[in-house]
Amino acid sequence: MAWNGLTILTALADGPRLTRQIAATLGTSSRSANECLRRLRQRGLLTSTEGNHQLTEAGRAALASGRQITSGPCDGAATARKGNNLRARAWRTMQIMEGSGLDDLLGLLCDGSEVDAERNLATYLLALEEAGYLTPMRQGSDGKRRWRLKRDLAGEQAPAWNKKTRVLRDHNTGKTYVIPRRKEASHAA
Amino acid sequence: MRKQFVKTENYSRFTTGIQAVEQRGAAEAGMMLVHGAPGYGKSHIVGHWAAESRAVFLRANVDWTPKYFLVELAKVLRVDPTGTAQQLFSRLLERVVEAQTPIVIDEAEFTLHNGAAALEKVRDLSDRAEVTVVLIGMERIQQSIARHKQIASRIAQVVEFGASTLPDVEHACGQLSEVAMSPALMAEVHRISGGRMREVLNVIAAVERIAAINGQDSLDVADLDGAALSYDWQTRTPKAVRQARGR
Repeated sequence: MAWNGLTILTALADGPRLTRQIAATLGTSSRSANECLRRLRQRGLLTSTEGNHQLTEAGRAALASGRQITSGPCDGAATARKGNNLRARAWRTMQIMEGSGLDDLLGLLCDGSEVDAERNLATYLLALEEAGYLTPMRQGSDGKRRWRLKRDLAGEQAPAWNKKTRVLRDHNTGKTYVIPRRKEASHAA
Repeated sequence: MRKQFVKTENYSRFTTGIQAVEQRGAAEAGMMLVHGAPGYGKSHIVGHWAAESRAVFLRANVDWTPKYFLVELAKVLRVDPTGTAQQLFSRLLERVVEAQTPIVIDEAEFTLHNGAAALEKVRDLSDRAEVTVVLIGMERIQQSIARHKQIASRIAQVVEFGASTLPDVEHACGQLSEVAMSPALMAEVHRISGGRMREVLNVIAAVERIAAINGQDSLDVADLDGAALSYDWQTRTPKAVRQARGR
């Protein structure tokens, strides 16, 4: 099947559309349309609420630029977003716990097989804090930092973080945040 | 100390129980009860499972009512929490049926007020949506639930969490401690901690601190004889390593 990303964005330019309307535009089944919609959602180009889809700011910008939206890799610039990776599990755990620190998350989620889990989660937590998802709490007895996830901002899907581009993307809302590097340096200190 | 999840015998019993519930014969008997004394890792282990299996995890409050439960569930499932309890229940039922998300309720004693009205609502949702519900409570919750026949009949599995065994503690010391411990010292960690995993972690941290101060990378009971690794707040006495006991 040819990739229909740009066709879908064009169809949404005039306003929100239902899955079946998108499918009709593409001349395909709702299931196939959903797959394309899912990939565009992953890229932060549209948001979906109960089968109704609309463009995000990033989607409008992509459409305005007229560039072809492909389903392929994007040279490491895509934000990592696997459904059950360590960050996704940490996101769900923070929704369970009233307050948590890096050690709490590692102790609950890791079994030692993960590669560099501590650094991975530490930079993720920093990005979430910088983007305003976490409220700092009183430090633990060991002096380490702890946070509480702001429930009103917490969507179902974990915000996706690309350390290389320093972009945190919330696929629930379509919002993206650029996290300055200097914060990471001060955090590590 | 390494920060990792330790799979104990309680974990093994819990996962066996949850598998049995998920493969149950009667669709409506989808509830599981996890109970035990504080510090035995109930919330920790079930929280780990919830994060892995994408279950909804709610913590009941002292003032929980059926509506309060529904609103809390709606917030977590991103369902509109407004409207009457009936409207909200219908909306949630649709969502839970569609997602088939297991539901965990910690501190489930608080669902037993007012003739277990809140727990009755949980049961109703579990019955209709045929989803697994895990209730976590203290030692006596099983007797309290037994008084409510209709709810008790839906509990397919009961898992009692007990103190960590010596093999559990040995496994935890081996997995988490960055200082090698002799079998005798691990037995002392088990005795001093009383099998409470929270306390095991504190004792391992204390052992590591002493090892760091003395520049040692492995320790035996003889190295720590008399050293206080924990404190008993009830008897107000330090819990120290005993060489004779450890050997």
